[in-house]
Amino acid sequence: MTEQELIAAARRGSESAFEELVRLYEKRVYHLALRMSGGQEDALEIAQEAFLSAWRGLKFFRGESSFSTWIYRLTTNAAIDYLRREKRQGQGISLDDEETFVEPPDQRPGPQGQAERAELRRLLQEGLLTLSAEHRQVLLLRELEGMSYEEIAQALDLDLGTVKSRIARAREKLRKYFTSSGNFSEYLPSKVAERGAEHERMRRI
Amino acid sequence: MKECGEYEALISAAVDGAVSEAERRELMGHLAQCAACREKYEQMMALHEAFAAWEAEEPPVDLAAGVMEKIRRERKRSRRRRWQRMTLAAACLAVVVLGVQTVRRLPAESPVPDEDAGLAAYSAPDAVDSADEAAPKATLADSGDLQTDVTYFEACDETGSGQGEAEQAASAVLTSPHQALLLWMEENGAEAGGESDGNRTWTISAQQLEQLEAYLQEAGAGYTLEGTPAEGGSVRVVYEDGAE
Repeated sequence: MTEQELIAAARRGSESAFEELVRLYEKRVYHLALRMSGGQEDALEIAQEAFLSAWRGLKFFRGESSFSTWIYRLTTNAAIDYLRREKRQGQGISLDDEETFVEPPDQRPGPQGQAERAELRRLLQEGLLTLSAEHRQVLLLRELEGMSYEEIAQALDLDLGTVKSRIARAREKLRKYFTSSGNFSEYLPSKVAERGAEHERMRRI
Repeated sequence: MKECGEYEALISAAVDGAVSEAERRELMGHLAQCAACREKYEQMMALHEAFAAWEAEEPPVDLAAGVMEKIRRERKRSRRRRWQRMTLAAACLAVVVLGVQTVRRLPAESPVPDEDAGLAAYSAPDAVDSADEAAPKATLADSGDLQTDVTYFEACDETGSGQGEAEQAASAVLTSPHQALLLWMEENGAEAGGESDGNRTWTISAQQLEQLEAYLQEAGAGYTLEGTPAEGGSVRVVYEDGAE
């Protein structure tokens, strides 16, 4: 069945069709949930919540946006709600008020190759968690799911200018987090490539 | 001439390739003269690349299964809620089980159960509120050598007047307003028998009786089962009047 057919069948109540959709999207949904929350158990909860919302909301999904856009929105919103409920990372920081001092990450000497990539991922995740959940949401929809500004604006019901500035602020805060870690350039993928001859840095799942 | 801070949004948009030609030219013009903004651009670009290189981790193997389990539970809960609403109107219901060795089909032309066969009937008024969702019809399970037929009697009428018919064992075919129980019969593939006087009859196996017990308990609607469905024994399900 095509995705469209699966969606139609699921809307009529077919659990097996919906299960197919879950399997199609679970990797991306989980990945997004993981970056939003920074924890595997949290991500599992969030991902399941997102799919449950999708099941309940299927009858209202009329296909004005693509199904993937819709499910990514549900995922990031589920993450925001979850984090707020669990009083976890980023929920206490309001959108406008991110000037609170953030403990800079450990100053570590640059490790080599694969370890460097791991370090970069660690810093990225930590840096993400210093953002408010709303900033994290727009940045991840852009960076992880490759959604355009227009798609994000439509998905989150924001105007284009807001999306643009929110992403810029998110990036700036992340950049500041990295610069405070000491040698930013140590972790640049291009530098890692120079040192470790990794030809897969641009690989994107 | 913009302040450096004002270029921030433009730099970010340029990283995403979301700038017009004119904007791009303006930005490049500024970057040519401003080392700080140039560095900002390079660093934002580096972060952008880092995201691209961030491989997606495999989700836990039971994610999909967990989701479907929650969905099924939720559907069951909403079915049960419907069930409980329907039982509010009821007065009481009694169920009597006669132990027999084999399952017999209630002949269509004789609605009164055959005493020797110990046939049974769960009866309900003709006007039935069928389930508004399509429930899969289960087949009657072959639960083994010994199967028990179930007789349901209404021990009291709508006004709750008492244990009238129950003592008359196999010969009575009673009505029940408990349409939820009816729903259970349908959903669990209880073998439908004949019809008479607006009453319908079913037979179920001993295994199904167990499932019915569990279902009633889960629903917590104040049903109790009395007696044991051993051979020749009887089971009564009594709904406490007024229980919700």
